[in-house]
Amino acid sequence: MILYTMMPQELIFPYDADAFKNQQTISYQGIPLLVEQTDQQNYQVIRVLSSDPQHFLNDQICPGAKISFSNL
Amino acid sequence: MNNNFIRNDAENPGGAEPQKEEKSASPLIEKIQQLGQTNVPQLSADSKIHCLTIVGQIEGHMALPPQNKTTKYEHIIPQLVAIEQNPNIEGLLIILNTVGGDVEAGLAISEMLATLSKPTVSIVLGGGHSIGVPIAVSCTYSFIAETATMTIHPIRLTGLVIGVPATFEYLDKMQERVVSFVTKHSKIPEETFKELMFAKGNLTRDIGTNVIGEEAVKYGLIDEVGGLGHAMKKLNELIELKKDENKGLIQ
Repeated sequence: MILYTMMPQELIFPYDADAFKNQQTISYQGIPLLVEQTDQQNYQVIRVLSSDPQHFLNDQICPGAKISFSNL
Repeated sequence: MNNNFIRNDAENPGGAEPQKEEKSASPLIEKIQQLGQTNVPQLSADSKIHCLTIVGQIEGHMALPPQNKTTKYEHIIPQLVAIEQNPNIEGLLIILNTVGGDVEAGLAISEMLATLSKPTVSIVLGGGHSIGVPIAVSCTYSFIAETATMTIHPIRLTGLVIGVPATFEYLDKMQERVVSFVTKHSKIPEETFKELMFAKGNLTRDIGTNVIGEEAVKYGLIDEVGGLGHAMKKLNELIELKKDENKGLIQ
């Protein structure tokens, strides 16, 4: 889609600050992760912030995976 | 194959194997639902090469609105310190795909990379624009993908301008820092870099130049055109070279 308009982008696509409210950075098993709280018991991994490529192969923390609060 | 199987069995005695099979089926489906992909094979736990991805905007003094994809200065710097200190890490690979960002944060990352005692190799994939340029050249050896681009343009300031001459002078000094860093850490001569920076007609209604893959190598900004395989090979070579150097010192 290409827009040709004098309207500022923020007016056309207002961003929803609430959508990012639940995001936070945590350390899980020593690995820094950006997570989002999905419900009362779980975090969902959004981004792995580690520099160790092996951490990206860990299927417990791959983006999209759920981490229970009880495992923290 | 056979050997591995026996070893696995020995680790899980008491017929734990079939149970594991059953269990692994459901997380696999879950994984496909989550990401549309299955997991990749596991390697040994320790990796001697670490990898830093610098993507999106480089975030420094100002926290950007959350919908921006950012690389945060305060995430990268401690990781670099940890990489420098960890004796198991022998090399660092920097993956760049950035649109630029905070000048001082970018220069800080570049200086940290340039002074890291371990071999570093950078790959520019997609784009390494503006402040991504000093980061790319700060590594021991730099690669650019054939289709990747780097935009070189003058520094601008978004914010309050108090006095025009003072602001202009400040911007000029800031730009000088970037130019001197890039010319010091790459093979590009200062005149060429400034020429590219102030060139007219390359970018629509703006000054600057967009260099693509091969061009960046031609100007001496980047060392070589290549991808992941080339970068890893080079990094391993540099690691071996450093090991040999250290051996020489002991003797």
